[in-house]
Amino acid sequence: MFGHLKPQDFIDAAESGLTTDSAEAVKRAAHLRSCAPCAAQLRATTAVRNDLACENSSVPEPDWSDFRESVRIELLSRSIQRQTTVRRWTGWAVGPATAWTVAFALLLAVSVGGFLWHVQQDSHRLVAHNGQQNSTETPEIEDLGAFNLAGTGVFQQLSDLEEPQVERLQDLIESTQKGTVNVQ
Amino acid sequence: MDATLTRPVAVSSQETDVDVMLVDRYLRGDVAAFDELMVRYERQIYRVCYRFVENREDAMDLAQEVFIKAFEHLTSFRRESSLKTWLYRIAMNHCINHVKKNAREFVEVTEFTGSIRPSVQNDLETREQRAQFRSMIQHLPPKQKAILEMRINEELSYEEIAKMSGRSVSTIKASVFFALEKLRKLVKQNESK
Repeated sequence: MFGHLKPQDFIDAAESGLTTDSAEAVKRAAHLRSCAPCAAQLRATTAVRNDLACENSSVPEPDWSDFRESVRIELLSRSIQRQTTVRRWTGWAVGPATAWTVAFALLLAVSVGGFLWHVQQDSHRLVAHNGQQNSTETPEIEDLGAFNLAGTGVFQQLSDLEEPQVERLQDLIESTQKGTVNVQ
Repeated sequence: MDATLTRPVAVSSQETDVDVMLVDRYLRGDVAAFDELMVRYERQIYRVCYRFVENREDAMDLAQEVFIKAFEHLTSFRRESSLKTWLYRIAMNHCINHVKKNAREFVEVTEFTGSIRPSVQNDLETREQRAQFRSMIQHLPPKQKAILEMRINEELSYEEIAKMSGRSVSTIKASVFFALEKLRKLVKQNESK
């Protein structure tokens, strides 16, 4: 093995001893036999480790049933605290918020409903007004149609007149304009 | 009531199955499962906490906090590691945070105790040496101390500690070595004073 042992090698050697169960352990043991500083380091590390392990022997125990009970009570009280906090929030913050939301929604619904009702009424009134206008305008159109039809008939009759009848009609129109009507 | 605690026993896969079953029962609302889980781990967790504070009352408070944290977050226990490892991780992090938060106060209390009772310390030489050794352990950086406790006193495997702390096995072994070295130097310094 080149160089000294690595920190993890000292730990392996201190915990498992100088075993020869693996190739690495054999190399480690060989190095420790030939290297005095590493052997000294291993002795020091092992000694501190053993002292520390001995310190484990005395730890004063509490009353376990009391300890268990205290954990149970603390868990329960924290759970109740959480529930109370949620209820407090529901009571003082979420409650009014919900009330305000419902009130606002109602106000909005009433406003929108009123507006829509108003628009509907207006459209009804407009339709009714248009209906009235249509009923008054229809006879005029009908008259115009009759006039047109009649007109068409007069022009048709005029265009069908023969030459002497046309001359006579012209004379009649001229005399009517002069005020001397002579109907024969 | 001062009694010595028994050494921890390595957790087998059968015991892990029992843990999983107990966790499921607790989450379903079985109150008896709470007691069974507590009985299984209260000593181990308390012992870890005790070594960080060296005081029964504080250790009980710390252990209580650890269990409350664990039971409150039991739904987030993903069962990737054993319950034992999970609980130890919570305990380790909680104790490290506690030590960091109270580092200043702790030093002051130690100094005060040392100066007020010199006669008692002279009479009980062995106890004094032990107390000094324990106080030397308290001078280790919290993370190194935690790893040392988990390995030497709780006898967790390096693989378990590596999983708990998110480091490699060789890093954990190196940490144990450097912690022991630091402890050795502290003891040496204290002896030469």
